[in-house]
Amino acid sequence: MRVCIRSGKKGFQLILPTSLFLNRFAAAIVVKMMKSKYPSLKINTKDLNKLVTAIKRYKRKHKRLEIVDIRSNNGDKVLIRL
Amino acid sequence: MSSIGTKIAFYRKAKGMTQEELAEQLGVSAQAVSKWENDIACPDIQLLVPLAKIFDTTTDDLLSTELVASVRLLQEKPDMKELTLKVLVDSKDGDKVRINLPMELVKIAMEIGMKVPQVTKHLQLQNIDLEQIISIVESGVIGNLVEVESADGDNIRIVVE
Repeated sequence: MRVCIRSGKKGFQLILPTSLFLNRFAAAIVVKMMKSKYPSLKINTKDLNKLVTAIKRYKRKHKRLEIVDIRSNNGDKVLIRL
Repeated sequence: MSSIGTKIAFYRKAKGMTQEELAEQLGVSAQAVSKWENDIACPDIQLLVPLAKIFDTTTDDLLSTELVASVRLLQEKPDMKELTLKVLVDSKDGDKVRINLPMELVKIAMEIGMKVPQVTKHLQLQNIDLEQIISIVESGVIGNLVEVESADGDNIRIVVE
């Protein structure tokens, strides 16, 4: 996964190995955090694992898909690519 | 409003072509096609006629701002794993937001109780019922499902393709 942020003349690009955060361990951490932040969410590790599996499958099919592409009129940019 | 980039992406997908395949036919790079589709760049004027021919349409249609085939009804039940939910926000100030989410992911997110305001704080998106959109898609309707044009000129579209 690539995260590209540009603001004016400054910018940076993060290249993150997807397997680092798309795994059961990371899912368990996210569930714990989400439960404390959004108590109304009926989220559990099993559900999040389903999400992780779906993302992984999607990544295999649509490599380099731009999930988020935000561009402001003054040239700022946020790009998240699978 | 529909840009030339949106039209190219629409017709390419309708033809079942990849960006690489289209690029190869036109003698350009796949990155160039990607830039056209994301409205970062425009195709060279000399490529408009070949583009129209490949897509079995006219250059007038490619350059017009009218939306193409906004909603389609599929004959068979669509495979949710193959579909993408796109949220396109164009503000009057020129800001652009493009979010592409796998439909399957949206469905799971809805099941675990996530709501649109938890994804985005955009006021006009808060009243959109994503569960309703999912049920519409499951019944076989895809395309430009929601289009909201606010009084201050912001334009929001939800497209499933």
